Amino acid sequence: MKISIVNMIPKSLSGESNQDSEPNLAVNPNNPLQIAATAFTPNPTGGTLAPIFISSDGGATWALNAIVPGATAGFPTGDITTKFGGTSNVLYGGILRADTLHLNVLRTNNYAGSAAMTVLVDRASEDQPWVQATTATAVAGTPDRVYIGHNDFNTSPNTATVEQSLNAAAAPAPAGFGPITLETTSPGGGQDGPSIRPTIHSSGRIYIAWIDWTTFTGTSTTANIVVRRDDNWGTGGTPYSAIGTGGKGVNVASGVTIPWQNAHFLGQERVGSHLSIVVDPNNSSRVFIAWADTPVVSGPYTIHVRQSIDGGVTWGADLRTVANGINPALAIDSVGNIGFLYQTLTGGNTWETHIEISNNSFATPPTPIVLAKVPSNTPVATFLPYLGDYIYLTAIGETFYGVFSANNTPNSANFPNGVTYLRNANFTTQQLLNVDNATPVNVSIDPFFFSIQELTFPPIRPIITPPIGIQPPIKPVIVSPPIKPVIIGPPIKPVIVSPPIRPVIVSPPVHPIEPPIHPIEPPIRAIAPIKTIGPVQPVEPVEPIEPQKPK
Amino acid sequence: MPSVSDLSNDAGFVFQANVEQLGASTARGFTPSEETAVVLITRIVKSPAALAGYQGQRITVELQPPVSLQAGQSAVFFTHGIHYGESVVVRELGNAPPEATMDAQVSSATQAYRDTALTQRMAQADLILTGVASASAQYIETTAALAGRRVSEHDPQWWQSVITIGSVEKGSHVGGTKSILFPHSTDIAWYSSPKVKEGDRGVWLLHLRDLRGRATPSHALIHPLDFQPFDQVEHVRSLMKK
Repeated sequence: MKISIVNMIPKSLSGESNQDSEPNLAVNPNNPLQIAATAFTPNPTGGTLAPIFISSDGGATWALNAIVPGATAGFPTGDITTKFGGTSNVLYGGILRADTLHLNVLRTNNYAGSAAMTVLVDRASEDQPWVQATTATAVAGTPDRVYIGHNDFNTSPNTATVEQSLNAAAAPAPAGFGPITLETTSPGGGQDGPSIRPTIHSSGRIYIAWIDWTTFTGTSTTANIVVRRDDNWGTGGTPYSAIGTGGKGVNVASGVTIPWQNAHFLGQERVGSHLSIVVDPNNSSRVFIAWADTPVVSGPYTIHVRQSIDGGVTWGADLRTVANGINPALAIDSVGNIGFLYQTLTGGNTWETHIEISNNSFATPPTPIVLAKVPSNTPVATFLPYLGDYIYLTAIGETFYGVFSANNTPNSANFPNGVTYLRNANFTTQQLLNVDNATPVNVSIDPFFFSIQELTFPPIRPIITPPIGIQPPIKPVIVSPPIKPVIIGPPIKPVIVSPPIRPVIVSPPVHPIEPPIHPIEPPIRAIAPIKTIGPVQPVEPVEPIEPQKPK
Repeated sequence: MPSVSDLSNDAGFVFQANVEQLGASTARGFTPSEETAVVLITRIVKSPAALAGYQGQRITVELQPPVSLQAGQSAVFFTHGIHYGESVVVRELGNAPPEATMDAQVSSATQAYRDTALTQRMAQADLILTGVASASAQYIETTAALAGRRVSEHDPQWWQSVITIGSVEKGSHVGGTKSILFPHSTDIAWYSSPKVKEGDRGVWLLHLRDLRGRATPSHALIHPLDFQPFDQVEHVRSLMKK
């Protein structure tokens, strides 16, 4: 198993100390070397465009690219998530703009270019847009289909909504986007919770989960965890009505208690709406869901993971629970392994980020892989969310990709499976350093990208479980011949320094100048195959360009 | 050509640099063009904290066309960052010849810009008072207000305090005290808004709408500029007179 963890703050921003929380990730299925990510990261020089993180080498290196509209001074963007279409290379975004807090649906066909993303939809009174996208390759014209869960206060109390387009890639605004209200029960709590989460199967089957607030006291809610399903891309006269009585969906869990604590509740983090759902890319009837609640009065805030193998009609009991857990994120790879990413507060003072990968639907509890274990009380939170109201996990082929935020102290002990820092850092003195590689920089919260590949399980066995309730016989899951592994190997960066950048020490160094920079314990592992992709851009001087006539 | 003052207000990163090479880039992943130039920063005039250490560093400037600068020239660049990877790429808003008074011009423009922003907040305020704050407490919304309220993690979470009034500088108010609201939330949308503590003394710019145009339950502080410490009273009054 090969694990790569990268602190995403680029070298040029070694001097930054922002709270870069609430990360999200988009890996281009058409070219997994192309990755976009987001966090509450401002453009250091301000302006009206907030940045996204971009990588073109599979996550080995990162840059900030300012293309998201609506930024204001000190507030880059509200909630933001992005996803690529399946084969189009188009990146879609759902944001709450900083300047208006309006929902914006965004699009760009060049995530690494400098042009601002195009606004396709602008609407007030919204919350927490959550983007999922694909290309319907079996449909004529291979259109991009995009589904954005969001909490639409314009339709209160039935606020759970999906904004969808059946052909989003090229048409002018609104590019086919329009809202479909999912909630139909008029929740007694006056609305649904902020998290509305779609997941798409290539067949056109779509599941959407949300938290139905049956009561709300101001500090907690009694809720149902609801799933609805559509079998044809969310089209037709009554979309998302494929399961449940009257087509109104199925309660995965009913009457759960979820604290609504928009303040420091767990390790400087707030809680109240944690939800994730994923469908098996090889089996549209196999679905996993995770959410968090307090199952016992005054008990710990707990993540639950459950599975359905009959298309969401029925759900099994908890397969996993994690006490003091937040930010569950689920993904399933091309051979059916389920990944479960989460953050848990341990010992009352340590945030641990774990991923568990199971090849048998958690029939045997996998050993968590610890991606990070960091102090929970430093740095002191600047704002909420401290780490994020969500993190993200996805899978392309047999590689899992994910993103989380954490304390960025360059301490190898905090990263038991290794880490690479792009920003200047001294792992011996455990000190972040500015761009001059000498001036100390305060600890803060950074986003971390990771990939996991070359899993070492045996092939997945057919899943046969006793029938639950009255249902058709459960067919074993037949695993087709293994899909040829797609091994993504970020190339080793060629080190080209010409001319070398000479750091200028602008203040007397606090510490003696040590050999920089990156930790080698554990060593930075090259991920096979080691090959460069395309020509490497030189930074040596190039031939001067002949003067051109002014445009 | 925008003035130095306008450029200073718009640009987040202002620096003096020597143009070393045209048509080049320091940033792998950012394609050079005839409008990009590698420059060596010799002096920083205005910068965010994250870029304060860039004196002596080479970065890439995307110049405004038509490009008139030549390699070997020095200029003061007014810029915004557009790409931050192994190196920084900034977009030029304009440039000016280096002069001894440039720092003072930029500093003066920056101060003037802050005054402009404060003047705008004062113009938008529904009521401006001087006074001292009491201890603050959670604001209890009416049942009707709660019934129609949408709950989001981005809610302001109104708290209230009572100002013992020294003077009314704008608007009208009867009585010696005034109850005001402020966003107690530390959500990313509100964390920089003023948080009132007992004993805070100064100028209070109070609004009946937030920055997004939504009505507040009562007169409220919204923007970081909406509270000015008491030593700024005369400065505020001078701006109001303009």
